[in-house]
Amino acid sequence: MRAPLPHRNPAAAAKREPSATPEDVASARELELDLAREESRELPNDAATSSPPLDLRSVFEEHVDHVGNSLRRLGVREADIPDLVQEVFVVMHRILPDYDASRPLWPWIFGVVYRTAAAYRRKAAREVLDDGTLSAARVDSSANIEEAVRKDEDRQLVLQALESIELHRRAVFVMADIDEVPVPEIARALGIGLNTAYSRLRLARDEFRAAAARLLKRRGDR
Amino acid sequence: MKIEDLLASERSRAGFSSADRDAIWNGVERSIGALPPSPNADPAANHDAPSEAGPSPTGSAAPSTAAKSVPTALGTKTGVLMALAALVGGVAGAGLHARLSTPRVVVIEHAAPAPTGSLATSPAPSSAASPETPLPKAPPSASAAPAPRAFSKVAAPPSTSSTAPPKDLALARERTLLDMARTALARGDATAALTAVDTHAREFPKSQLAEEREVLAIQALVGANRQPEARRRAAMFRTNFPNSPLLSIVEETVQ
Repeated sequence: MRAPLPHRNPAAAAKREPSATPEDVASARELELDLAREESRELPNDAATSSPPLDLRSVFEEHVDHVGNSLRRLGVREADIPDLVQEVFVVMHRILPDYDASRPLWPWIFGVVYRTAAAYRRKAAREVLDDGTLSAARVDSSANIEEAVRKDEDRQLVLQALESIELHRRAVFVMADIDEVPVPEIARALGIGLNTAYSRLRLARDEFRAAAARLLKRRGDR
Repeated sequence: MKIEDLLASERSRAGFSSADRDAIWNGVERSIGALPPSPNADPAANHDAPSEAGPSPTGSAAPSTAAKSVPTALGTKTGVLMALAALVGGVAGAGLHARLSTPRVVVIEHAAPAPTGSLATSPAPSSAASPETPLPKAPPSASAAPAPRAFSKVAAPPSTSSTAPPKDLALARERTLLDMARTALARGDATAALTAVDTHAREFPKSQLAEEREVLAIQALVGANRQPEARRRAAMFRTNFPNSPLLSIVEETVQ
């Protein structure tokens, strides 16, 4: 999947994001320098992709959980996740020949996940369907029930906070701060400019922090 | 840093059960033509891979799935239990498996209890499994196929979700605890189930989900070989919930 060339005009790129400020423009110029540096650097390869043709089954085994969890983070309803996971892999099957095996695999997969989630959200009812059900938590040992419940509540809080972020910014945030993908890889995978990626990430982090603070306060920060 | 802790928790979220994985993989194979489609598949839906053009998925996403009744092949009791699992928890594992191995036919349509509802008044999936068990009938919209999902819809203000009242958060926590009890029972861990149930009883003494919690408690006590306590608790159940649709399950459990 070849990414479009990143913006060569950082000021214009920065202005296209709704809340670009003079600071954004200045930092965008720095980013332009970063970009030049990044492009000249070899990006790390995913070890799994340095071997010959990818087999869909092994990709499935290794990444199906991550695909499901990522769809959830992008706002897919619990009951719809299995269907959408299936769609992601069906699409992957079709475009696997186009995958550049020298690139890391997960960001490429996330690109498919993102497009699938975006289409789903366009089609799905605009109302938030919320029956308040958390996905059933796995308990490792009976002694850890309290901690497991707490962790599960934390995860639910994260999902709720994510819901307050527009999808195109949320995708960057999930890749960066949950999946820990380097921003240049994110930009390539999502087909956006590096500056745009950084800008979206910064905005998303602000939004996430604000939403999380609100939710933590409301639950009394138990 | 609290934010980092939250994200770390989400990062470590568990994945699918192996049954669900298999079901999803089967669905993938059918869609890409590696396996012949099941005879039950909706012929209009299962043509995704070869004819799909462009990056976006076809209209085979969730809204087209239809509600069907609980499979009777598993027997009435299991069918009722599956229906109840779907009522209170998420999509039951067995229901998910059946749903995905025959694409586009949803076996259990999840219907959330109404916020005020006890089990006796909440909408239930249309169930072919219970001529003798008096589960409440599903509202017509939930039993027709294809049907809109019978979630209780919460109209949310755009792009924010932080307006759920504390009551809903408490209810979510209740459901988490009961889900834990249920999954613990499913894998045979009666002790963990009892801990979850006791935690729920302690924190939510007047819960709307008490009826269901008691059933799980009784099952857990039997599982833990504490028959006398199970029988006592069953007797209390009979007294407190004489008209409960779950009564027959309780009776069977303590036999």
